[in-house]
Amino acid sequence: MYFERILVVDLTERRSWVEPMEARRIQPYLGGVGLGARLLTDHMPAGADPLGPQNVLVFAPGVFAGTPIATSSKHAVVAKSPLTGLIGDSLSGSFWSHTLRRAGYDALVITGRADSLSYLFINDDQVEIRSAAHLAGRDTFDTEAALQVELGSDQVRVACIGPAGERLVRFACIANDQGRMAGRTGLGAVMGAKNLKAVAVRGSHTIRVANMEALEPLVLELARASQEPMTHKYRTLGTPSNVLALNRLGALPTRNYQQATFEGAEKISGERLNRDYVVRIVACSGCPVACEHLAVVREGPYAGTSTRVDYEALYAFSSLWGVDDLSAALHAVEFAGRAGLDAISAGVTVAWAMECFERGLLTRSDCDGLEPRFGNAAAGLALLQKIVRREGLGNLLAEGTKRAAEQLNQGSLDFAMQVKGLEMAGYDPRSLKTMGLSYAVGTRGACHNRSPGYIPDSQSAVDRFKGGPERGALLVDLENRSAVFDSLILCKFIRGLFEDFYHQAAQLYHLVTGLETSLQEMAVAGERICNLKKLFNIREGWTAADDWLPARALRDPIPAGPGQGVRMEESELREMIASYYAARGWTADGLIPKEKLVKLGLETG
Amino acid sequence: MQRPFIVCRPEKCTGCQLCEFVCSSRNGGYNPLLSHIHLVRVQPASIISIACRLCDQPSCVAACPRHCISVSPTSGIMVVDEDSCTGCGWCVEACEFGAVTINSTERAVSMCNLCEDRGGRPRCVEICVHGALSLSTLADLAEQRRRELVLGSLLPELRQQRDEGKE
Repeated sequence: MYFERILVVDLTERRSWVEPMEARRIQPYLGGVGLGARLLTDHMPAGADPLGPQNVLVFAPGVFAGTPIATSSKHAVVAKSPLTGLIGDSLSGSFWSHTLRRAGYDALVITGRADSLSYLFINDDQVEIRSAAHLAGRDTFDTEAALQVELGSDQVRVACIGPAGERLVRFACIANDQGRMAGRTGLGAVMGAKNLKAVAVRGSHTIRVANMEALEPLVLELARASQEPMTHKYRTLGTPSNVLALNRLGALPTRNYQQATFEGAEKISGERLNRDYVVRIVACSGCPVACEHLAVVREGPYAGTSTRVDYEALYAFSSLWGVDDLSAALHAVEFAGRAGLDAISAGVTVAWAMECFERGLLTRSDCDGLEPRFGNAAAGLALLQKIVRREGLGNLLAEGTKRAAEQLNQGSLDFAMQVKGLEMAGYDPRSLKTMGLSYAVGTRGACHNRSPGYIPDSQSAVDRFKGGPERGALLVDLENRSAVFDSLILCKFIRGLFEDFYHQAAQLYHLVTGLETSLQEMAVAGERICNLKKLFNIREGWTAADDWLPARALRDPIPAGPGQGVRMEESELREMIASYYAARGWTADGLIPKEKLVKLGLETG
Repeated sequence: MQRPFIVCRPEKCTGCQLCEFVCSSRNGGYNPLLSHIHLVRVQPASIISIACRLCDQPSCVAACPRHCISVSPTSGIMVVDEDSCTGCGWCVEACEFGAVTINSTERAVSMCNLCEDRGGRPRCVEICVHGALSLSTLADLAEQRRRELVLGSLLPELRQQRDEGKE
């Protein structure tokens, strides 16, 4: 059930209060990303500077968090993104989510800016803003451990930033529970701009559900189903199995998207990883699947590296850099996690710098004596360190690919692999055309999670090499479903377990919250949340020109492999975008008609 | 020695905490703080869940100055007289396994009762899809270990010898 309480903290005024929010007012947005988007829109003045005190940082767990419903212990972080200037929303999993709920809140809203580096300690009703001077510059793992010691218990759960967030690297992330990350859209920089090092939480309340007796058999059924073949990939090879799968499809981004197959793919594959590096596979709190692959490097120059690893971080630090040294890539993953960098954005930004260097747009002296050619893992790692310190070239790269390319110019924006300022996830949009549409129209930029167009492409449900007017409706359905997953919250790794997702989601929601709902209402909630995020973007200055792909995807055909000769045709992309706007019921310019807003309850008639 | 208790195999435990959630549900809600089984996750890879081991000579019983804890003669579980328990916590200090749960609001202690309320089908074992938790006796455990020894190390060796013989 909802606690019907939102905790608001004003760091400037150094005070906090609880705003009541009735369950029926939360219900249209469910929780998580949906509730976060609602609270951001309501609390942030239009046009706020993402790195100014007026930006609002929302932490919103799902209403299932802390129940044994499989994979539900997750929270969303939502703010205006310093990378895109549009909505930034990111998810993370594990203990922190239900600890905030057990402190008695459905969400935490943070405004203002502390006058010096601080952390927030929420101990049920007691909320304190404390000095974090002693934590300055410390990495995410250290910060978490130090606060648990300081606050006397590992029941205290910590979400925090590393040095990257403190130095306002625009793609800094927020970490919790020893390596879980709210990675994308630079929310760690928002936290850093607020002088907020960490949010430590301790909660003692019990999470109640409306009908435990009826819920229990469903919980058990989902837990058991989580061990069936649908989740086999995540439990065994994990997401790094994508390396070889995407290489076979000609969609593995290589050397900053100059190629879509990588000759070193075997060496960085999930198979290799499991054989030579993975020591254990563990789980987030609340998750029976267990997908978290813990890898250890035992020998060589990177011996001692120890990190969890997923496909996106792996691709960004290996094939994308032309690097086939898996130990080096794992070292980069660990470094990014500790420093508090979004691995995807960090990897793509460095790959852009590598291409600039190879094309002579950046010289050795521009790179502070480094020679960041493709394949040079050591130089890539050195650039990551410079980014975190904002030193030399690192200061430019810390702004993200879009701003860095705009500043360097000389045509480098054409191969800055980003949309709206957010760096691309690990799927080539030329050989995965529905994914290309996803990247172009996604509210948070080139993202694979809110807008998962790679699913029909990689499952051969469509001709992945050729776009078409049917993709709009297909993507709308995928986005709406994702919004429900991201708001309830359930992890998308169990999406294959639901035969009739909206129906089953409605059933679970009813048993947990006691509120009446239906399959149709659940589907509309997904649509409403997607529209709300778009509405926020329009308010913050989105224009139709923002829904587009970088020139490389449109101009440079894939040079070899299964997608040889394929690029995204302008007309093809335009047709897909038009079909997407139409399927959304938006105008030809991508704006939301008033009737639509009224129908979804986002505006009064 | 022959009484079954909740055993965790750390190498199979993923640290998912579902055992804590479902254990605490006996109170009508979910709250890991009230669970009788306790997940310990010190490092990302160092994980185990711990519940009462139904000791033969329980230090919690010996430690209680008010004699509120007794051993059930039938099941061996620790029975706490909640009316007499003041929550002083000596049993908590005494238990080497940290298996005593103290309810910070009600100031009373409690321990794993093997889900007597559901006819001895422990909730934690039921939800543990990785098979890390089981209701086992020490004799069961020893037997299981012997079996795994043979399957895990002896048989592969024999198989390898056989395969090498073929070449």
